[in-house]
Amino acid sequence: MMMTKRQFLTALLAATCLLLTKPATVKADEFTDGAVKFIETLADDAVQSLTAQNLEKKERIKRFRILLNQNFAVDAIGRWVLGRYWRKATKEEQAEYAVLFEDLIVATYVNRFEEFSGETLKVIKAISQNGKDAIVKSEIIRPAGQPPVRVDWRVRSPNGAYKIVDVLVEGVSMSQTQRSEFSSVIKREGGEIAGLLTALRQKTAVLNE
Amino acid sequence: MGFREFSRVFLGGLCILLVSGGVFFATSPAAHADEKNVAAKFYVVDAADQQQIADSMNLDLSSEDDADEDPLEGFNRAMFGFNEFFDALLLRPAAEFYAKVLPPPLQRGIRNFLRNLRSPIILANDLLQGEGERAGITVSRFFINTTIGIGGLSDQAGRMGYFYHNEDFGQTFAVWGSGSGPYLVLPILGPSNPRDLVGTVVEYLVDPVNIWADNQDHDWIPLTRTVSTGVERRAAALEILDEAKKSSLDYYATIRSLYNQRRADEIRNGEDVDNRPAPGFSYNIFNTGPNQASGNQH
Repeated sequence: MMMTKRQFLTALLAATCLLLTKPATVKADEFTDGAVKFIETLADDAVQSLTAQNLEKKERIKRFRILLNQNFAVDAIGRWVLGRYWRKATKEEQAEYAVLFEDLIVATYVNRFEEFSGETLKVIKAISQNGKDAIVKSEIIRPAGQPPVRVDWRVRSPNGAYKIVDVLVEGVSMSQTQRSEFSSVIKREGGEIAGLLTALRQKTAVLNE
Repeated sequence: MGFREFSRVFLGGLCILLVSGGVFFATSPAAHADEKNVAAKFYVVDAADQQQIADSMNLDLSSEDDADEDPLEGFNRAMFGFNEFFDALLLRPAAEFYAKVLPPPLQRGIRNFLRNLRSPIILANDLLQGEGERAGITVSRFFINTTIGIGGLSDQAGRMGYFYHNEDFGQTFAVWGSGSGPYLVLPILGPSNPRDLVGTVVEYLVDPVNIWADNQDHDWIPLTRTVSTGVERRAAALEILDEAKKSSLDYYATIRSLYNQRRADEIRNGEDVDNRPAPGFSYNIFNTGPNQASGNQH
């Protein structure tokens, strides 16, 4: 079948685009390959250091904090979660918030490693997004017949070191959920960050009992 | 009250809700803040981001609220409270009985059977969304599980890699371009919105099993099915919801966010997370000075 002139031009344009973008793809591959390795290493490290049955709670928390700060952009996530209220907060409030935010993450997730029962994290691939992020797609493998649980890691590499900025479980962003929730709390407290800090203090105290 | 009367009252009630919801939806300016506007909002933030790099604070300048849109929050919170009461009184105990007393094989059998019964609805929506491959999976699952799986009790298709997926009319309407309308907490049925509520009603009316049961005067069938589906789903969510409740500062807000995000993900069939807001989208998170960057080791 003969190509029309229009089809030919479209094909030519597509080919040119492919040629032009090729070098960029190679560079992106290095970035995404690194991101895949980063998540695989993190999963191994987490299983090794956090899931031992006889670990004391204090020691588990200590190890979790180290891994968390090595691999997640905790401060940045915390600020993003607070959104526009970060700027409204005083220096003292910001400092206390940063500590409480990390405590909340620790208190929420550390126990999950205690209940760990040999699930494996299978990293599928990483795709680059808007030039600065890599989305590492992975699955938690479950017993036969059950579909795996989808976990996506949004990863960035400033100055060569990878940091996680968000985790999405079955499409639900942990950061987005917290941002929406914190905003709702502040709104109910009449726009006062102090109200959120009180709630955070109570929550982390309850969870750390 | 017979089931026929009950369903008439129930559907009548839903229709009233629906119409009032529709009127509200049409008149409320907030209702028009659909996915596109949300995306646009974050683009604006991203543009402002450039400006903020110079500004060492690098924060979201948006004056918009970051909580999910919720113009009916007062009504919703009241309804949420009622549902929590209903849950504590009836639904949760039933779900706990189901999860802890019934033997696991029986639980799996019930879940598989109920899912298999949904096959016509899932297939219809796969097709209405033009999802040929997923429609194929639904058909394969139905035939494999109805035959080898003994009337749908055993998920043999899942073992072969044909995993279950859910579809409903709410998702189809979204794919067709309908906005969701305001977040809406329904009595007993829980989190929804006008679009998904219409989907729920349509599903109830066109479901072949319901139509057949209605023609045969087997009113108990749709009722039993609805109740057992509710209990089964609540049982599946026992741990997740307990965790969410334990770790959240505002359980209502958490559930609202989870519902909105899960629905958005289901509508996309779990694909492309492009243009999702995320840390780093609204400001340059690593441009906070050398002290901040190395502060990750503490």
